[in-house]
Formats: sequence, structure tokens, C-alpha cells
Amino acid sequence: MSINVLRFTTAGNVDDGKSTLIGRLLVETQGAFEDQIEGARRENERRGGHGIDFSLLTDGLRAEREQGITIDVAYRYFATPKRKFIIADAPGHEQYTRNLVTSASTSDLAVILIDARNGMMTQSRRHAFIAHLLGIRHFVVAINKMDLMDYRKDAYEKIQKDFVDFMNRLGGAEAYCVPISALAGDLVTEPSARMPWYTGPKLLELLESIEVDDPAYKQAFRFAVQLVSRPPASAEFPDFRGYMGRVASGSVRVGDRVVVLPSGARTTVTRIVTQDGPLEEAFARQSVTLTLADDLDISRGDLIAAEAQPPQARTELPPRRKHARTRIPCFGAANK
Amino acid sequence: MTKEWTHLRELESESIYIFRETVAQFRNPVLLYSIGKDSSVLVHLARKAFYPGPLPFPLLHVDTGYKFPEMIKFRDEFTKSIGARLIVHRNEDAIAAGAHPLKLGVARCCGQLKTAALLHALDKYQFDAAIGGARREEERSRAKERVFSLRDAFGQWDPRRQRPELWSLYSGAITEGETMRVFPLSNWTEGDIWQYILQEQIPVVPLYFAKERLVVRRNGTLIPADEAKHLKEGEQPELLSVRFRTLGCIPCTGAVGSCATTLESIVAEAGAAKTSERSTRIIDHGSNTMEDKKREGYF
Repeated sequence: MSINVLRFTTAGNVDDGKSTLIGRLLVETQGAFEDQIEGARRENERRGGHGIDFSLLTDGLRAEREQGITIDVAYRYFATPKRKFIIADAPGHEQYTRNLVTSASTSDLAVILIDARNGMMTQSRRHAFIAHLLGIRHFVVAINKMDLMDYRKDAYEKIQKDFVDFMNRLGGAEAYCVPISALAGDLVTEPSARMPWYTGPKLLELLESIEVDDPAYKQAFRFAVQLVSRPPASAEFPDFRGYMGRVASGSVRVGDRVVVLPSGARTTVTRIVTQDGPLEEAFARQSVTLTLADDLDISRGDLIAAEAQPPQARTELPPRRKHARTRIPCFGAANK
Repeated sequence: MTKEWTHLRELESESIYIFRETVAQFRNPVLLYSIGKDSSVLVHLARKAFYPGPLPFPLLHVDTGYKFPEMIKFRDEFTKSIGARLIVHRNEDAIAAGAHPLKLGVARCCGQLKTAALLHALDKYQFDAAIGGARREEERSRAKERVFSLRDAFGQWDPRRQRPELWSLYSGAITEGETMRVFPLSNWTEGDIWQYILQEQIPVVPLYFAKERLVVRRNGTLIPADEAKHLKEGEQPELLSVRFRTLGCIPCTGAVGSCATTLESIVAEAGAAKTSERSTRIIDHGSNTMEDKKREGYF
């Protein structure tokens, strides 16, 4: 069960071209409106520039536009016939690294931009590491500014190798590499005649096709109680007590045995209530209200979990799996 | 799965979660009800979130006195039909002094009739959280805002003070005098809103549907000619088939030429739109940007 929406964050060092890339993606997929593009063009000309400065589309704060840096995350939305996208454009500037944590936490995939002239920088590693730490397992490495490296294959391969080595140390992730020029438009949404040696998908094609499974559906049932519902008595609900929340993982059916933590009390789910009618079963990500067979002391913050698969209390963390290697599907480059 | 998990259901579920977090974490929340399509969706989601209970907060309408009569009629009928508590708050002093955008300029008029009135109402009723229907897609400074967005004791937004907001953990911690603005529709687009209104058959103000209306051309937009006394010299009212993409005050809300008379045709129009919906709002033009207004306390 998946919905065709990809939430991704962009990361990379300041001036590696994140905002330019996002601006181009928005403009070329009709994700930016004409009046917004026109506003960005006028603003650029007021400062003596020519044409559109794509970064003016996403840098929504005055302080950002003044300095030409991104301070906080901007969320942008666009769609292609294949997929809907929510982009969290994160700052590259070291001072605002903390804001990447916010953007990465709600993303399924990270696009790491690397300036082909500079290669992997501290900030590229830091961002890849933070995104990985927050659970992102899908990476697209866009090696940008290939126009300034004469579209040379060896320049691309060197950075690709550095990134592969770095990701292998983190483990367990999947990374794709693509050489692009966000400014000139090579391999973003359009093909490039200047990099015939690259035979893989364009950046947008990667974003449209990478499958991101939500593991929550396959895991055991977990439901954190947000609120207890005790509405005034009505004919339909004379004595209602329900537990409101969003299913965090797994699924629950009417009649399922559950355990309530931290008390450890056990009971049975009697109803799954929604305004659209009662449900027989609720799945991960659904916001519902559960009623239980017994009157128990349950309040906000308590966890309702599958009795057969209860959470385990531990005082030690299991050791990190050392052998989980990064899978790097690479396109068009040597690596054979 | 009985029903397919669509992106609309994902958005709906996320919004319901945000509503419940707000009520769980705040002592006295309020829903800012502006009568527009986003407010209609917001109220619809709030009712889903707290079913089978009643809405656990009142609706606050900040009235400027310049709202379309159709909006006020819809507001009164709709809130009555769902049994919601409605608070209408106006800056009566400014209204009595004749505040009007052509007299004060748009920025000052908005500042008095909307921002000052909102801040006054929040203070008067001691609301600690104000739930609004703003969406990140609407405007580039809104694209920067957190779901739980902190305001200082003067109701002001400081973009550099934004807090981390990880996963779906929304921090409602505030200190004396501070308040929170909460935006459950952060991730919705205009297209999502209309698709959802169609799917759920949510009532909206009839002004959203195309009809022949008297308008004048002003600053590249079509302004309703309802209030003839405020026409500028040389402006000629024309009868055109138009509809409104967003609803605000009559003097500052532009219409768009359209023949969309059904929800289906509006959904199609929203999907093909080449300009942003805020382009019809005179409030967003000029030097006083949305960021400035938000910094002053606008929602």
C-alpha cells in the first residue's frame, strides 16, 4: 500500500545550487505559477541581474534574498503525470544545518547536491550523515555544475567514487548518482547531448521512479493515544469513551487483543470509530478513534500495541549491524 | 483495505492528527474562520477529528465590514447548521473612522482591520493557539513556516526563531504572553482543496462559482463593482462571467474570468491554473509583503 507522493529534501553545501535546481524543477514541471516566476524575474532585474534567478522562487524571506543564502526550510509542491512531490529545500549554510534536521525528518529521500568543481565537502558529508541518521535510506547524488567541468566523465566518476565510499561506511542505504547542470538544464528534466557517456535516467526520472516503501505497514500494531474522547451523552453514543490517535505502524481489527503501556493492562478493541462510519480495520497512517472492552486508566501518551507483538523494554541498544552495505546502482559510469 | 489510501486521505489524516495535537496541548484554542474554501475544509476536518464529540473550540471570524454579503450569509447559515460557536470580532474604532484601502492604502487598512483586530481578539478571549487555514503553497514566506508557528507577546513571527519540528512531533510549549498559530493545511495545495471539496461535497460560498457579475478593471485584476461609491474616476463597470479563486474584502479581491459553474469544472481549472491564487489578492501586491504582515501578527 503506497500513495504516489514522494517527499524529498535537498541537501549539500551552500552555493552548490540547491535553490537553482528546485527553481528549475518547479518551472519545468509547471510547479511555479507565472506571476511567481514574473515576480522573481522582476526582482532579479531590480538588482541588476538578467533573466530569472531561480533561487528567488524558494528563498521566501527577505533576509535570505538579501544575502543570497537559504536560512530555513521552504516547502514546495509540484506534480508530474507519474507522481506528486513535496520538496523540503534545506539550507546549505553551516550555521543553519539544524534546519536540515527538520526537513529530513519528514522526507523519504534526499537529493545531495555536490559542486563538481569542489567534490565532496565537509558539509556534503555532514548532510548525508544527518539524513541517514534520521532514517532516510534513499539518496540521489546530483553532481552539479558539470558545465563548469566541460561535462567530463572523469570528474563525475571521481566524486561518484568518493560518495560510494562514504555511503558504504554508513551502510544500509541506496544511492543513485546523476551528473547535471541545474543552470544549463542538462539531465534535470531534459536530456543532455553534452554527456553522451552517461546512459542512465535523468534526475526527474529517478525521482519519479524510485520506490520508497513505508515499512510501517509491515510492522507490529502501535498506536499512541493523543486524546481521550468523552463527548456529552447522545442517543447514538450514550456513554462514549474513545482513544484518539494515528496508527503509527501495523494494523488493528475490531476484536484484536491489545496491551496498553505503560500499565500493561490487556483488553480487546471493540470499535474503530470515524465520522465516515465504523471501520473493521485501521492501517498505519490512519487517524481513528478506538474503543476498548474494558474501562482502563488510559491517557494521552499511553501506547496501545498488539498483545501478540508487544514492544520490548530494553536497557541496552543492540549493536549496529556492520555488514549492511550501501547498494549503489550506478548509471553510465565505469564501476564494472 | 476498504478504501484506497489516496494522497487526499493522507493529507486528511495528517490534518486530523494536527488538530488533535492542538487540543491536547493548549488550554484555549480557537479556529480562525475566514469563510473561504480553506476555512470550509478546515472546519470539515476539525469535525472529523473530534467526532463523535462537538468541536472543542469556537470559530473566530475577524470581520472588516467589507466582506461580501454572500459570505456573511453563508457564515451564519453554515455555523448554525453545524452547531458551532461563532465569535465575530471587528475593529469598531477603525471601522467607525472610515478605514478603507483607497483612503489608507492597502497595508494600513489591513493592519487596522485584520491584524490589529485579530491580535485584539486573541487577547480579549485569552486564546493561546489560533488554528488557521494558511497553506505553504500559497506564498513564498508561508512556504517557510512550521505547522506549529510561535508568536511572541506582540503576536509577531520571527523567522529566525523557528523551532525544530521533527517527524510529527509538534511542540506546543509556550511561555507567558506567547501564542501559537497552527496550520493543519500546511501541505495542501489549491488543487488538493478543490478535489477534497468535491470528494466530500463540502459546502462553499457561491462566489466561488462562475456567474455574470459587475466588475471594474483595476491594477490588472477584476474588482467587484458592488460598492459604486468607491469607484475611481474613469472606471467603467462591466458585466462579465467571473468567479473568485480566493475571498477577502470586496475592494481588494479580484475575480477571474471563468465559466466554471460546477465543482468538477473548478477542479479542472485549478489543475490548469497558470497564476497563483494570491495573484488576485491586492493585499499581496506592493511593498508590504506577506512576510511583513506575518511579522506584524497577521495570520
